[in-house]
Amino acid sequence: MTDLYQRLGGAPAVDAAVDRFYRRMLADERVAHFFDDTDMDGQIQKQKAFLTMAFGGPHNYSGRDMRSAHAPLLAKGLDDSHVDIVVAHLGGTLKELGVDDSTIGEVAAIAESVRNDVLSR
Amino acid sequence: MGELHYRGEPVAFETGESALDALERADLGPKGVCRAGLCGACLVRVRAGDVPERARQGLAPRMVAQGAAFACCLVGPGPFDLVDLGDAGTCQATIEVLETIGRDVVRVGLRTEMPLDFRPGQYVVLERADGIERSYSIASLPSDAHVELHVRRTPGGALSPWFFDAGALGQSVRLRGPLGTCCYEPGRPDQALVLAGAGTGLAPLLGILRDALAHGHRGPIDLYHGARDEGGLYYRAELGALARAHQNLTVHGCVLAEPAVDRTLRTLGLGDAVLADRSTLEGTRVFLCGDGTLVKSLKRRFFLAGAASRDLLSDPFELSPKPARVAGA
Repeated sequence: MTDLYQRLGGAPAVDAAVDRFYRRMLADERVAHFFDDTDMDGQIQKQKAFLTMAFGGPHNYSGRDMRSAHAPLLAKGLDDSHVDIVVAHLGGTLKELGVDDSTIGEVAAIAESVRNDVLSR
Repeated sequence: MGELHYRGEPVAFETGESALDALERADLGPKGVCRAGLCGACLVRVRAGDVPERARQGLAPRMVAQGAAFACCLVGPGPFDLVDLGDAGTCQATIEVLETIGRDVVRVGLRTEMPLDFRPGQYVVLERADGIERSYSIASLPSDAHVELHVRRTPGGALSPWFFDAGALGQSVRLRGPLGTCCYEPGRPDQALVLAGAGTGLAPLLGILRDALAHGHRGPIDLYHGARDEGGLYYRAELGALARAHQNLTVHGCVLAEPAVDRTLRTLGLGDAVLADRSTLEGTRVFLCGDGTLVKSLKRRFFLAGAASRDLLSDPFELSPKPARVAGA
């Protein structure tokens, strides 16, 4: 349990953010097609796991998990531009929730740390 | 040594490790992804065992009611008795009612050998004596005399035409279930409810609707029943009577082809009708039942229209092999 995760408000903060974050992604045609075939309830659960990690919360993701989970998306053309969009929506979501810029920067840095695993390089 | 059973079979289990670790080592059941009680990949149903709060943190009440827990958070020594989420008991039932209620739709009334402990909106897998099985949603309440299913005839289907044959009356079938989580949760009685379904998607919606009314739900309830043309709608009179008895209930019939007889019907798709009646779905609880493709697309559309994910409940009928739902084929 890190300081960042506590400052953001822990699990309730993840719950408050997840719908806003996922709605932003589905409404953005540049990334929405990556979620075309997915079951929404399962996706929400996965987005919660992602947000928990990005908020500095407890998780046990390994680089290998990140790689295998995103391999099908790579085949659909996932690249740096899409990761940029996800990070931007993450920041936008937190801004909507009244989080200050420097904290958003900390979250973005954690999200950035998995970029290479997500893109399998 | 701990004690762990999975689908009734003992699995080697060490103190301090998680049930997921043990199941993975034995190459059984779910595979983990996040291993922190978040991603949902390792959800199982706990039949017996002392479940720590952490193993259910963040799960919807409807999942907890089904016994769901994260296997990665069930730490030895246990004991834990686990099955797959979709695993349920079985019971014998007799077909006591066969009544045509619409074009190619028959109401099947079943008497079970013992009371079926289901929640309105759930479904059962019905197996005929020859082993052919299909999933059907329950339209009745537990207090009704029969477990009621609505079956649509699928031409050339393996099971559904049988129910249109008087020979099925009095026959014995096996039911597996109840299954599914598309149910009314008591609480928040003033919330607006939207129930939308096409064809025999009305069956679970009818159970959910009557359950909400029985719990004294006070908020506005809008039921949208859709079909290609007016002949595809059924239970119009019954739904009308329910609406007259409950001021907060409005029933909308939606068809794609211009109606010839009933001018009160709306010529609109389900999604268009729901969104024409309100500017946002924020704060509304939504139930979606019927054809899987339609339900999934409505779910996404209604989420984008502001419905919260935890308030979007659905029962998509799938025309695919087990264990997914099979629409009355």
